[in-house]
Amino acid sequence: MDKVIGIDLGTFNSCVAVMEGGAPVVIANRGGYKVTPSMVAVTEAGKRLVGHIAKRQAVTNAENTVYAAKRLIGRKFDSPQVKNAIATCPYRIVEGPHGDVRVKLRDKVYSIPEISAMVLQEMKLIAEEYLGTDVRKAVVTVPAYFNDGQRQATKDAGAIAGLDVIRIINEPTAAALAYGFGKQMDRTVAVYDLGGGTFDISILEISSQGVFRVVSTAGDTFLGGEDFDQRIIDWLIQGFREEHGIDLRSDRMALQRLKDAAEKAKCELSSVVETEINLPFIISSNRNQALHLQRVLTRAQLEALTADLVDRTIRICEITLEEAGLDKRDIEDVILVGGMTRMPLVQAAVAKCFEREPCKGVHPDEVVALGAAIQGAALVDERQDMVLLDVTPHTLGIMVVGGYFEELIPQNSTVPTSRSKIFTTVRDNQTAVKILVLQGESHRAEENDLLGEFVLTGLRRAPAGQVEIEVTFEIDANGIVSVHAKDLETGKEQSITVTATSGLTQEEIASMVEDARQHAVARRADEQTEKARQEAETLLAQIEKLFPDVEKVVGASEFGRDALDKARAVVSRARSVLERGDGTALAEHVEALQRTHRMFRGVVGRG
Amino acid sequence: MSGAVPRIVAPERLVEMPFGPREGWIASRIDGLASVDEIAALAGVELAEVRRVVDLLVERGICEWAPPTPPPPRSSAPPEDRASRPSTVVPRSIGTRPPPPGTSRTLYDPAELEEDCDVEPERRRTILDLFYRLDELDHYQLLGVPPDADRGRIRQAYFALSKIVHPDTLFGKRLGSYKAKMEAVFRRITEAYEVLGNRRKREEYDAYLSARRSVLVGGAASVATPERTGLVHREAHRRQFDDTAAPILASGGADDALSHGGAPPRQPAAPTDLETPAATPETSPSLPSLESASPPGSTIRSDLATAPAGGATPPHPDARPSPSSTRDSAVQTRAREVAARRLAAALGRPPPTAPQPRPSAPAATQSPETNRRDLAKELVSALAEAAALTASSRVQSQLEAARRAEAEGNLVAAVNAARMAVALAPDREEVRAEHGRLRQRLAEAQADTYERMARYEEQSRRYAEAAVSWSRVAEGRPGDPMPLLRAAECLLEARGDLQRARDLALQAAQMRPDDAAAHRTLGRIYVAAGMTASALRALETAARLDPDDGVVKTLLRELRR
Repeated sequence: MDKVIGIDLGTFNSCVAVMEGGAPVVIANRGGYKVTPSMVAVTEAGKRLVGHIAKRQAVTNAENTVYAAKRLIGRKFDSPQVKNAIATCPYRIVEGPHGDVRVKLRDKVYSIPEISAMVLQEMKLIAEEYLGTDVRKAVVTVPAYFNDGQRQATKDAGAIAGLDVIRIINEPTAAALAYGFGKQMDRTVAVYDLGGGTFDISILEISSQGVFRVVSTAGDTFLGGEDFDQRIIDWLIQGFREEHGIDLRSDRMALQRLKDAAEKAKCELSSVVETEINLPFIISSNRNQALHLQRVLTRAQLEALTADLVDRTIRICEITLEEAGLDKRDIEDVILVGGMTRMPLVQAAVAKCFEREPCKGVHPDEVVALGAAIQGAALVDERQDMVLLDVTPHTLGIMVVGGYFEELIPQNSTVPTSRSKIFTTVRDNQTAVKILVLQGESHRAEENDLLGEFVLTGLRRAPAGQVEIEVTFEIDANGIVSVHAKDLETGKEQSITVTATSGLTQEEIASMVEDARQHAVARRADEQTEKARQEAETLLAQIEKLFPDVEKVVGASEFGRDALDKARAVVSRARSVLERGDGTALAEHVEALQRTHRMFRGVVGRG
Repeated sequence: MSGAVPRIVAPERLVEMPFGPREGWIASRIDGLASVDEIAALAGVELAEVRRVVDLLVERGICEWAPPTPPPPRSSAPPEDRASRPSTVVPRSIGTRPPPPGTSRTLYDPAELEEDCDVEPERRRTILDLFYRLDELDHYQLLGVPPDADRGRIRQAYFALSKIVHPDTLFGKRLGSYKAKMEAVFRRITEAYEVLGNRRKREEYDAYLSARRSVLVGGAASVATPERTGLVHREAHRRQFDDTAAPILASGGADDALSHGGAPPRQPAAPTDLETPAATPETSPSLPSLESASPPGSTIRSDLATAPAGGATPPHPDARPSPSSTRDSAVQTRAREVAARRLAAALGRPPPTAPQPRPSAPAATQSPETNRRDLAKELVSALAEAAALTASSRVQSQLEAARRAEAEGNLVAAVNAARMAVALAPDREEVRAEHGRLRQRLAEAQADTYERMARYEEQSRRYAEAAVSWSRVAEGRPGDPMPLLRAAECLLEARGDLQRARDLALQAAQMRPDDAAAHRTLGRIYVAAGMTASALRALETAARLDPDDGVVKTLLRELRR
């Protein structure tokens, strides 16, 4: 049975876990860290760097270092999120051939799934090194709000990285899986996930029978840690204007410094009650005099500044409970996920809302990857007697006359599911209908995401409203959407399997897969060379060290001198190869060095 | 092979059952004497349905399997042989014990169990069992929980089923046709759980179910009365002697309260197949396997059709009845046989010994001829006694029971009693009038309940059921065209019986000849049925009454082209 790894592909950090001996474990990378930065860079020499190594050089190579690619994945180039990223990111974001987003690093343009694939490939390598075997399958997590396009793009990234992504699950769901796994309990729990950019609340039922059921998932895609930072920035800017009459907003560099300082202060105030924000030489005054920003921010002030944001999350929690037909008392535990939940105000508000202390037993950085690994094992390992009953993240429907969105499958429907509705023609003698398959919550079709379209033709010529067409939406357990349209009179049918587009064509993905595979091979060869080089160097050092002793023992005889000459030749050849850095040749020389080393040790040992 | 017969052991608990009137009707036929297929024949319902009801009752401990009373002797000679060869007694077992719950109940083709895929045999059975009963089970039955189950129990039941039918539990396996079936079952159990797991929705659903059940409670109560084992019981049997009772039997109970149920009979009466060799008495021991290969309905019908007249009854005047009358006469014959046995039991006589030649049995020492004569004598005298019991006073007592029940406010029981009276004295106009009056009162009393049910059913997009409920509302509110129209429209929506839809819409249109909506609905029904000329007439009337109706206008334009 193939091992399935679970990957939490985060905005800033990624984490990989696997089931071992019936329990999920997080795998540390070579540096011993359990999380790896989701960063990719290309060096001047054209070398690809992923993870910590990419992060370390980010300051000096900002233009060619991609971070937070997750914010761009599966999005259209003209979407507001991308516009915002273009304004704030130091790396170059360009438009792809399908209206998708690409980034330009050095002279090469990469699609976002390619960038994410590099991170996934790194996670795959970390797991392979730990397990000592190839890994082919993975469960990858995404935020609950991700639409089909973003999910598909994440799957494509997996494919490019050589991973079969057998399932995409939501991050809060994964957190709940990790929380409930192996515990013999029947509980209804809430997962409160306040991350950098978004807020998610999920309610799940966990049972000792090994069933996890997502009751509902809701959230606000524009409410997260960044909004908290913004409040601090606004407060700093306002204070500075009052003091110096200068608007720091006009200076991009100052703004970036404010942003960093605000985030830092916010984090600090989770553990201390007061912090100082100190930004010397933030800007020059009109008289060309350098001005400094220096202010003290207390936890109480921060809480006052951001109370309404926390309230917003609590209101969403209350609405979600109500829609699920649940009472606060029905929630038996609350799990906190996401960095923002470290904030004491958030913890207090959650405790007050649910009338219970949130669970502290899960590690917010690892819990999602653990859950993904659990789901992977649940799917492929027959010994894992559990099943996750997941829901559709968004409403699915079609466009009807007037540009309205007609819902077929509502948000939070447990999958697999299907729904039918009967529609009629809108024009006289209309012989074809175009079915636009959409996803989203807006009642205006244009504001929702287009998943696919097809045309049902050959309708009977009849007045408007006369021809009845039954449209059926079906979502299987894998989240694959198929849509059928049927002329109820003639029985004529058309159907499509909606394959959300990630912005990449099949050919592009295929070529990227090949590219990534070659890259993986090259990298592995690199590693072998490196290993040989290290071994050669070690052997050379040891041989040199043994040389005087060996000379003493065998130097008297002609045979011995001959042997020493040969050894010298081996060493010098190895040195020259080592200097040339020829990996393939080096392997052979390592063997010769090993023989020499063995002989030397034998000689010294006898003597 | 002689099967056990079901016997009610806890009649007072019958009301606990989540039954509809139809199930109530079936339950009322269980008397500890008749086997399941006899009950099916007597109640005029499908064998499978009887088995389901009996299984449910047995599961709840309300009913148990009792050793059978041996059937009275009867002739096995096929009709054509009767003239030349006077009846010979051949042992024949009727009543095959239904398989215990959980096993295949001939709901599906056994070949489905053999499909080449990776679904485990045990799981296959569970899936198929549920899949083929999705339409007939209510949410509680589907999840297998009692109606008073708490949230935890419902959740547990739903989760346990999920682990069997959720496709992820067989991730990456070949599921074949089971994938779609698992998904369908999963959708339904999810729907059931979403309703029962949500306080508000469950309240609505319970209100709906109790509305449905409120029709039954009265009926079940009448089943549970002590009277049941006494006079009423015998009256019922007397009724079955009466040829005029046959239509009631064949139509499965003509009473309103009983004809409406969760699962209206979907299958029309199966055609009688006299040539079915499988059903001849000689091959009857192999019946169970045959049943599993053919629809239960047809099995029982053909079985009945070839069951010859009982030895104790006078020879049927028709030596070779026409196929259509054969079934009726066969039903009657069977009814007579069962009734004779019940009578014998009710009168406290030892049941007639089974004539099966058994070495150890005393009967074996007698010649079959003597044996038959004795039994025949016994039965004739039993019948005579029964006839004496059925004086007109019985009609009177039924009418009195009806009045009593009416006074107590139990209209269902009143209608039931009146119906008995009608069955006893079908020619007495005043009895029929009383029955009609009570029926009308019941219908009026239940109209609001039915309306609530209808609206809930519409809301749940169960239009076929909503159509039935609306037509009940219509009966309770004579003169109101609204329920008639709603019923017709629901039938249209459900793509159901268009003829019935037309009848309903016609009634509405006659009630309010100036109502454009009625004519429009009528027109739409004709359009759906492809009856252009009639559609044109109806729509033209509608257009005359309401010239601004856009739907009518477009429909007319289309039709005139």
